[in-house]
Amino acid sequence: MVIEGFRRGIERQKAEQYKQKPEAVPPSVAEILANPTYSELLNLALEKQGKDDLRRKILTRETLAEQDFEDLESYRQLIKEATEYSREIIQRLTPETIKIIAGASPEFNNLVAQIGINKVTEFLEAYLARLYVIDKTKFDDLADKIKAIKEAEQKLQDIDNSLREACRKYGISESELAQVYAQGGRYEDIQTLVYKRLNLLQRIWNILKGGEYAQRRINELNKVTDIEKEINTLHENLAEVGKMIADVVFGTQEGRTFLTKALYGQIEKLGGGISFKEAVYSEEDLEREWEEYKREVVKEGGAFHGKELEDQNVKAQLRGEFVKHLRQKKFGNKMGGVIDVLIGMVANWAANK
Amino acid sequence: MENIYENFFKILSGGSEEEIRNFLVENFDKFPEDLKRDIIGVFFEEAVDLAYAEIELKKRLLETTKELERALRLLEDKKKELELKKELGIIDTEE
Repeated sequence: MVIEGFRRGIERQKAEQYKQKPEAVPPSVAEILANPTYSELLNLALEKQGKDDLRRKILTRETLAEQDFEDLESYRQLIKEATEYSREIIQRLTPETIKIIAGASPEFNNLVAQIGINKVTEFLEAYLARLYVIDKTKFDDLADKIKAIKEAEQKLQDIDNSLREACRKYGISESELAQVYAQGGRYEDIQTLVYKRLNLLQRIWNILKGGEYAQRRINELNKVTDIEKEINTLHENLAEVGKMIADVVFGTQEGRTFLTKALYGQIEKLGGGISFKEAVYSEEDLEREWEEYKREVVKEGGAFHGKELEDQNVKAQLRGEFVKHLRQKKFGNKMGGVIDVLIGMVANWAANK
Repeated sequence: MENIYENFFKILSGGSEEEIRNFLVENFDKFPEDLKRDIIGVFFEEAVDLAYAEIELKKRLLETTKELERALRLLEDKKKELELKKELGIIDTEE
C-alpha cells in the first residue's frame, strides 16, 4: 500500500511537471538527438512513417519548421513510452521466467546458454523498445503473454503436479510417450498423431463448453444402457486426454515444442511463430539488385548523379540508401522480426561492397 | 576467408527453415551487435508464443479432465438412481 501510494505520488508529480513544461519529463528532444540509442529509435520511427524530409533535416541540421517541432514532440513521447514499457517488461523477466520461456524453444534456449541471461536481457531491452516503435500491437500482445506466463509461473508446479496425477490415474506411463518418439519419430507421423489428438481435444472441449453439457445430457438419459454407453465414451475421452497430458508433461523437448506449435492452427490461434522463409533472398538476387540500383542512381536526375562513388562517404551513403531501397521494394512498410534480421544481413553484406 | 553473409544468403535461398535457424544459432557470435539483438529478439518472441501456448494447453487439459470427471460422476449417480428405481419396481426403463 505504502509503495503503491508512493508510486502514484511520483506519477502525479511527473504529470504535473509535464503539464508545466513538456520537455521537463525526460528524455528531451535534445537528449534524444544526442543519445545513440534514442536517436536510433527516432530514426526507426521516422523511417516507419516515411518522414524522409524530417530525417534529412535532422541529419543536415537544417532549420526546422513549426510542424517539425510538433512532430518531434510526438516522437519524443513515443520514445519515452518505448523505453519505459520495454524496461517494465525486462523487470518482469526474472531468471526463472526466462528459464520457462527458454524451455519452450530449443533455439532460444541455446542462445541463452551461449551468452547468459544478463546479456540476453540487455539485447531484449533494446529489441523491445524498437518493437514498440515499429509494431505496438505486437509489443502489447507480447507483453500480455509475458504477463500471463509470469502469473502462471507460481501455479505451474501445481498444474504440472495435477496433470501428472491425472496422467497416472488414466494409466498413461512415461514409457508410452517415450515410445511414440522412439519409433523413428518421423515428422509426418508425429504431426498426424498430434493433429488427431488436438482435434479430439477440440471436440471434447466444444461439447463440454456447449452449455451445461453434463446436466442437460444426463437429464435426457433414461436407460441404464445409454448411460453405460456414455460412461464408456467419457472413459475413452479421458484416456485420450490422459495421452495428451502425457505428451505435454512427460514429452521430450522436441515433442513438447512440436505439440505447442501444432496448436497454432488447431485450437484458437495462440501465436504467430516465425518463418525465415518469408524473407528468402539469394546472393545472386542481391548482386543483381545492387548493380541495378547503382546504375539507376548515377543516371541523370538520380540521387548519386555526378558524385564520386569511390569516395568513402559517398559509398557509405550509397550502401545505406540501397538497404532502404531494398527494404521498401521487398517489404514495403513492413518492419520487425525476421525482416529486420534479413535487412541487417543485407546491410552487413553491402558493407563489403 | 569465410564470408558469413554470403553463406547466410546461400542457406536462406537453398536451405530448409531448420537449416536457416541452425545457421543463425550456431554462428551467433560471429554477427555484429545489432544483428545479435534482432536474432535474440525474434527467437524470444517465438519462445514466448510457445511458452504461452504450452501453459494455455496445460490449463485447458486440466480443465477438460475436471469437466469430464464431473460428467462421469453425474452419469454414475444417474445410473445408480435408475438401477435403484428399477430394483424397487418404480420404473422399468430397460428394453
